[in-house]
Amino acid sequence: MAAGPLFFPLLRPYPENVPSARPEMSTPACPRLLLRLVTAGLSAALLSGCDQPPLVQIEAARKAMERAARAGGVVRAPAVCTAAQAALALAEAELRVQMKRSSWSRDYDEAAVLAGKALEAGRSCVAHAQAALDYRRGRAEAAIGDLQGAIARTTALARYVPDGEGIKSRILRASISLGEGRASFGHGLYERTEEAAARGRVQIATAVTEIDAFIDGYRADPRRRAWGRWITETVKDSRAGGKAVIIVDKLRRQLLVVRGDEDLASFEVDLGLGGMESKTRAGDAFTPEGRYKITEVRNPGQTRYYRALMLDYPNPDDVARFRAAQKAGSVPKNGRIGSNIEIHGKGGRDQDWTQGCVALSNDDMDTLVGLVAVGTSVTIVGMIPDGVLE
Amino acid sequence: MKRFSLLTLAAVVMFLAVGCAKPPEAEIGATQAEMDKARQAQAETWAANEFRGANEAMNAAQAEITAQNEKWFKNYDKAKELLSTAKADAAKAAEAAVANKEQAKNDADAAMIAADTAITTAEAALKVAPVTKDSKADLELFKNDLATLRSTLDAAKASFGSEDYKKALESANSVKDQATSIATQLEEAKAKRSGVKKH
Repeated sequence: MAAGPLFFPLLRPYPENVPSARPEMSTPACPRLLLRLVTAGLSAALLSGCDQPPLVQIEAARKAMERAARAGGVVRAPAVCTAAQAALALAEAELRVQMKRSSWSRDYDEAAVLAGKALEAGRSCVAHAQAALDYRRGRAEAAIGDLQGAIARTTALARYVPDGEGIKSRILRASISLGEGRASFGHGLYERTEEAAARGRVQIATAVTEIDAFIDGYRADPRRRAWGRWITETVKDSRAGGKAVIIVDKLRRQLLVVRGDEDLASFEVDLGLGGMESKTRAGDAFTPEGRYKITEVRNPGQTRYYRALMLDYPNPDDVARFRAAQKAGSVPKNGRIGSNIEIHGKGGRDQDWTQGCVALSNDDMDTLVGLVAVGTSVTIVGMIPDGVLE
Repeated sequence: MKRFSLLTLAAVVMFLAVGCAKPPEAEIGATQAEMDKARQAQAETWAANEFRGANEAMNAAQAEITAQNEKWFKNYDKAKELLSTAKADAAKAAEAAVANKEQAKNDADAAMIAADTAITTAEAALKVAPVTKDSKADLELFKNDLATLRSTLDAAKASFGSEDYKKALESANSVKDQATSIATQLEEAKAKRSGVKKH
């Protein structure tokens, strides 16, 4: 301590038995002692006034740690922030030790150094925690965006798979997870956001796998040979007669109008809500598969479905299949084969809702009716096999 | 005389204490051990910044030791402090490397699953894309693109198997983005193809 050495002259007893070397110069003991006391007192006052506790720095370090805590400091930047906490604790401990001492013996030098280090560490902790927080927010936002897009694409694909495959429930669960993720994001719980998004992704991954498996299974259906043959015959007839024909691809939800080798039009369609099987009887809500003809054109006011092209379902193949199903017992003996299968309007709903008919939007029906007539061939297949329409 | 002897003795003791200070071999060994642990944890790859800090502190410590070795009155206090910093930094780097590598592994795994889903989605969309004579060439191109993406994803899986998680993650994310783009293009083409063909 700087003031220390000044006390030694006071503590050392004045040697009364040692004669002065220059007796003519000796000064009285009392004034010298008084001078020293005053000097020491002034020095102590000056020094104790200069040695201030580093309270400002420690308070700044505490505030930095509070900011870091709001950004999730110890969780997001554990190494840096744990060290900062330790540095602050050291500085506070040293401060407490010094403040317990008598005012004249306090030394805040070490506390000041520790407070400086604590402040620097606290600022570093804030910076690291904020950077980690921003990083996690970015990841969480991307995860929600990805899931949202995946749900939309999967929903569009689910349209091609009959209901009851469990796919729609998976999409619903993924949507619920998306909602949970958004809620967590709103509360700044970014890790939970990512967890919710991950749960949603699992549902979507399974749904997509199931959709793809269904499509592959359908494309490998043994009926595809018959479908290919019908299309080939239909196009051949069109080429020979120079007339437009209609081909309906059930899997793709597509109605094509072709004339020979020329594509005239393509429309999106809605089908029977019963699924992808071929119609067998009345009420099964399947869209039939086979070769048909337009028997009648109904215009607005003549049908409750805006416009309609009536088909000659059931054809002889349909009747034969119905009889076989009755014989096999899958259709009751008093069951009916069904009728009134049409291509009509009020469609464009992007879902299968009819009782077996093929539905287009009203605008598309307006266009279609202009391309066809009574007697136009209509071939409905499960799907157009690869390479058939070349 | 007595005072002179005491002073001389104090000076000799001080001289011996300072002049005979030895390099902090124990501290050097302990710090090297931590640095080695950090290297084993692949901190140079997975906690590059932290490891660089530890390395710099170690180099500074060694430079300080070399400088002190040249002096008459050696003082290794600063070197010890630098070694202590290097040791602590190396430990942090090792810890960070383990955590970062695990995170990178999980991220790469999730990215590959997402990429696979994206490719499967695009493949399914391709299978139900409307067929017309003029769409055949486009659909064939998409089919080839998706086959290429499958190969790229397989390569990403190989990188994952070799613990090159950064490469696996980058590849998988690129595959996911491209597959998603194909699915989007198919959806847009479907809307455009509806209606009467313009000849």
